[in-house]
Parts: sequence; C-alpha cells; structure tokens
Amino acid sequence: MDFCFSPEQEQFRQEIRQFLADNVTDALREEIAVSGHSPGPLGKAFLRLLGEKGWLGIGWPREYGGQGRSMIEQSIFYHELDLQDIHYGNLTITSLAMTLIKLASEAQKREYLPRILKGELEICLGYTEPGAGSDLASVATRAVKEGDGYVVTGQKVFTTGAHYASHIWLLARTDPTAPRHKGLSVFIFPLDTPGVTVRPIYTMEGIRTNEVFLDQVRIPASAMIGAPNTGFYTIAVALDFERVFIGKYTKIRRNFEALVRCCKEPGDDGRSLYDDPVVQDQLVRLHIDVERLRLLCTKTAWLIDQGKVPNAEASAQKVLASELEQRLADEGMRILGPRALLEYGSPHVPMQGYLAQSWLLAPMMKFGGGTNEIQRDIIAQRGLGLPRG
Amino acid sequence: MELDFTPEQQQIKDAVRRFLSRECPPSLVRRMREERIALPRDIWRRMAELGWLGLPFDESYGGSGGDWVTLAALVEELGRACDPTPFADCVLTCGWLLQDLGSEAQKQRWLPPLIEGELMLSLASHEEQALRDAGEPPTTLRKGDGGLRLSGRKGFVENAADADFLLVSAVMDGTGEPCLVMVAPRAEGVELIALHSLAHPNLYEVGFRDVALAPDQLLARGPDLPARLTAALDRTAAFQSAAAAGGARRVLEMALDYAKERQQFGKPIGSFQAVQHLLANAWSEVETAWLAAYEAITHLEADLPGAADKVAVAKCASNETFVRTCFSAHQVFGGMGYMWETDLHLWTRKAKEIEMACGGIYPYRRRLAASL
Repeated sequence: MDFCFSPEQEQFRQEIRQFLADNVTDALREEIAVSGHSPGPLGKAFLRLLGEKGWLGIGWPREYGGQGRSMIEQSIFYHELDLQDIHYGNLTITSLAMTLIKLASEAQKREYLPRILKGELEICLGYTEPGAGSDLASVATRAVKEGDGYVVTGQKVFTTGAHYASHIWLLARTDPTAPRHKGLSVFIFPLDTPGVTVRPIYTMEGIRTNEVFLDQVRIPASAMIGAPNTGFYTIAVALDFERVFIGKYTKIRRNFEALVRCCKEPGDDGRSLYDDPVVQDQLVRLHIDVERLRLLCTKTAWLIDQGKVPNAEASAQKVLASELEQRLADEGMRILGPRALLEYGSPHVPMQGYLAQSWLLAPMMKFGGGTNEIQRDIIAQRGLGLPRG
Repeated sequence: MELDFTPEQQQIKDAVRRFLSRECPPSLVRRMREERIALPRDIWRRMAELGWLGLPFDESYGGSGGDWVTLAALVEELGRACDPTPFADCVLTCGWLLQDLGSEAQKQRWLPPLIEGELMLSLASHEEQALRDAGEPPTTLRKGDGGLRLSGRKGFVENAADADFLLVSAVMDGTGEPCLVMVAPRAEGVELIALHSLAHPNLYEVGFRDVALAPDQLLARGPDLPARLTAALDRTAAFQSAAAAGGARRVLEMALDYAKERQQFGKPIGSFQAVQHLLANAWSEVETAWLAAYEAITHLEADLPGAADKVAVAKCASNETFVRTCFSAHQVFGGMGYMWETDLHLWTRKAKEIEMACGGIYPYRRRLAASL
C-alpha cells in the first residue's frame, strides 16, 4: 500500500507547473474570475494551447490522440490548474470524452475525440427538462425515426453552456412504448442544426444558463451514442464521471487555505481571528473533512486507473465536496464577519470574493449533477445493495 | 500509488478474521464485560503462536519485523471483532516502547516472553489533577536503601490485575527528571482499585506506596522521555485508527443486514429513503476514515514529513466516525440493538474507548490547529 505519487508523477507535476508559470497570465485569471462558466477569448486560446500540448487527454488512450497516462496523472494536472485559479468545469473533457471512449463507436471516437483534444469542440448537456429533473427517466423530448435519421422535438432546461458550446449531448425518448428508462437514447449533434433555439436564463449567482427548444430537428442516425434505447445507461456512466469532476478537492483546499491565511492576519491589537480557540476549532474540523475529501478523490482516480467506473465512490465524492464547499463558505463568512459579504471587485473584499461566490454557488453544487438525495439513493442501492423503495 | 493490500497481506487479513470469528466471538466480549475480566490467557497464547505478537519487533528478539500495513490489517480486524485483546496496550504501546527505550539487556530479557504471549504489560501513564486528592504530589521516584522507591497514583490502567508488569511514568525526586519504570502489580505497596467504565471492562486505578524497585526496573529516563512517550502513543493512535475503521465497517454491515431483513409497513426498512440516506452517509464516512488511517500508518512508517498531522487527521476522522456509525446503527436497529443480549452496544462501547485512548481527540485537534 502506498499513498504517495511516484517520482515520474512528481516530475510530471513539475513539468505542468513550469508550463503554467510560463503561460498563465493575470489577465487570464481575471477573465476566468469574472466570466463564470463562459470562457472568454483568453480562456479559449489557453484551452487550445493545452490541447496542442496534449494535456486535454492526459488519461486517454494513445490511439485517440491521448497521452495514455493514468487518471492519477490527469488529476495531478487538474490539481495544478486549480492551484493557478484556472477552474475549468469542462465536462466535455472530463465526463463526455471519457464516456465516448467507453461507449461510442469507433467512427464516433475518431470523429469527436481529436477535435475535443484540440479544444475545438465543446459539448453541453441536454438532460434536464421542465418535467424531468431528479426523475430523469421521465424525459419527454422525442426522437422519431424518419428515413435514415431522427427528428427531434422537445424542450430542455438548465442547459449550461448551450450559448457557447458547439454540440449538444441530448437524452431523448426513442421508444414511447417501452418501460420509461428503457426507451431512451443519447445523441450528439451540432447546436447550429436548424430547429434549435437557445434562450438565456440567469441564475442566483449571476451565471448564465439556458433553455433549449428543439423543433423538428433533423439529425442523422450516426448521431446516436451506443445502441438504441440504452441511453439511460449511457448517461449513468457519463454522470459517474461527471460527479468525480464536480467533487474536486483542490479548489476547496485552496479556498480553505486562503481562509486560514485571512484569519491569521493580525488585527489592530496585534491579535488575529486565529487566536480565538473557537475559530481554530472550526477550522480544524473543516481541515479534517477537506482531508477526507482529498482521500476520496484519490480513491476514485485510482479506481478509474484500475479500469473501473467509480460509482458509489463518485456519488459520495460529489456529496462530500458540495456539502463541504457550502459549510466552508458559510462558516468562513461567519468567522470573517460582514466584510465576507463583499463580492469580487468591491473595496475591502477578503479572499478576492471567493467565499461570497462559493456561498452563492453552493446550493447549485448540491443539486447539480444529480441532487445529493439522488446520490445517497445511488450509494444505498447500487453501492450497499439496499432494496428500492 | 497503490490503495489496496498485496495478495499476501489480504491472505493474512482473511486468516486473522477467521481466527477471531471463531475464538473471539461477541459472546466472549460480552462475557468479559459481565465478569469484568481480561482476555483468557490461552487465547492470547494462541495469538502468539500465530505470530501476531511479534509483528512489530526485530528478529533478534524473536519478532518478525513485519511491514506496518500487515500489522495495520491485523489491528483493523481486531477492531472489526470488537477487540477483546490487550493488543493495543500490551504490544503496540508497551512492547514497542520497550523496544524503543529499553537497554539491550532489558529487551533480551522481556521482549521474547512478550512475543510468546507469556508476559503481559500495561501502560500506567495517566495522571490527571481531577483524579488526585488536593495536595497529593505526582508519581515520584526517590532513591532509597539499595535502589529506587516509587510513590504515587495512576488512573485508567487496563487489565492491571492480570498484567505481569506495569510501565509507570514518574518524575525523579529533586531533579524532576521524567522516568519510566516497570512495576509488578503484585509487588509490596501496590494497591489496585477497580474502576467501572462504560467502555473497557477491566480497568484500574493503581496506587504505589513506597514500592521498592531493582535497578533494572528503570526502563528509561531523561528530558526527552515525555516526547518519546507521546510519539509512541501517536503510533498506537495511528494503528487504532485502523481498528476504528474496521469496527465502524463491521457495525455498518450489521446495520445493512438488519435493514435488508427487518420488515415494517410490509417492506424492508432499508427500502425507505430516510434509512438509506443514513446508511449512505455512514458508508462515505467509513470509506474516508479507512483511507485516512492507512495513509497515516504508511506515512508514519516511511517517516515522511507531515506524518504527525496525518495521524491527527486519522485519529479524529476514524474515531469520530466509529462513534457516529454506532449511533446510526442504533437508529436502524431501534430496540433490537438496545437490549443487553444484542451485540451492537459492545462496539458502541469500544468506539468510545478508542476515542478516549492515546490522549483523546482534543490534543490531536490542537496539533492540527498549530500546524494549519
């Protein structure tokens, strides 16, 4: 048993660090801080640079242009990005590409993976509908076979990224007569296909998401991922990967360390917030749970390297991370007092407004990617073998 | 990175589990509690025959100098079996301290019988103001006719009446120099007072009134002794984190089995979301507690920087998780886990025993507060 990174992995970390030191500018960080989930021009250029370096597919097989390294190495890469405040919630790379590698046809892999690697192709998720949230099997968008293709009609909501993505990864009903979750299929197609309309929705945190209307959208049969009517399985795999990357450790660790630094700044009387044992105790409890999250993230990456799709572990990671992020933001603000309410760009803002931003984002983290209640159902039923209700 | 046991370690772990389920079933744990006794010596000797007691010790003393993950796997299984043995106290703490601090002659004399299961040691280092009468001095050694004499009082000594020797911490009269001595509990001037704990079944307060010691009963002395004692307890705490993770996992499995079988409203209670979420939370906690324990143990074995902080995280995470998992299991079992003749409460007691051991949780939280 060995919890340490190998010398080769440490060397890879140094290589990434050097690259980031050479290429990450304050302007890029600034753009990412203010642009939410929509990458600006600097972000897009940086993504292409990573693509040229081959670092978008670190853990992918070599035959699809990846580097054939381990998932541990891929997670080292994301860790180092996060340390530079480059927070890429890029599900195209972290979740969908992984799913394509596992489930797509050879032709689809050759079509999509190289373009994803180059940073040319970004995919948004078309799962949620007004009537299908946690109960995703009740999706009503229809894809009807017509000639050598399908005609798609319906409505999606909370389609984050649809206004800048090139493609949509869509869950639709292909067999209305089959039991609910056995009549669904997954398709991938360009968002500029005629009949697709994207409209903005603004969230509580200020970030844009979208609703997507699909009106008689004609797509080829080759747009289908996996066999017909196996879409529920396809998205289960994609969601397991997604949860691994939603529940990332580094950003939380980084915010935690920034909070500790902030607490240690001496006040007028020379004493700091950290001198208060009540504050120390809260921070130590948070630290222990951040450590728990780090270990679980390590475990899921290691499981992927063993050729497994982390399932209960991925759900546990997502629950732990989202609830810890909320607790860290909430308790951190309580410790710092009223100035913690100040947002990025305000005078006197502590920690560049991270706590305030994270506090507003936290409710979404607890339901995005599948509510934490659904995650606990997954752990109980798929992981622990408890009977369905 | 490798987060699993080697096949050989797994094999040993499985064998330990089989032995414990046969020789140390919950009925034994309950009997020891009811009769307030230490583990029967014949079971301890069989553990010695299997080589368990020699794992931490050098081959020159009859040990096997095993790797720490194998040792941790053994300790995890002990925790799983609600550990009725004195392994943590006698082997991990006292035996290892003897190897750390004793003279070559002392080690040659005492370690082989300890490894063979013939010598039982218990640590007597706990001394707190609340247990002392007003004005009573701390445990002290003074030079008397022909040797040293020990006076004072220690609390929370496990299996003291069954031990062959107690390792007693004391200060030298006049100089205040910290010392560690070996004292036979049956020696003249030693008084054993049984304590009644909700956790350890066989616990004592031990009084020493001018107890005469031979020179070779002085095990160690010097200003660095308290730090070395702390380091030894740290090591025990790291291994006991694996015991806590093992105990928690067993309790979770008991609750899962019960939730799948117990019917109410015409369905297994494990099909209700409220119960599922309780158990899903417990599982996530147990997984991370287990990882924290083994990370601490491997870092401590390799003497990596920051290992002491890993131990603190492991101690806090695993010990608190063990207690919370027991509480969750009680909630699942309801009345069926609350009766004396049911087993769950044996683990609940063990969870609090482990938490309180090696200084309890708070010193470890303070350590983390100092290093953040």
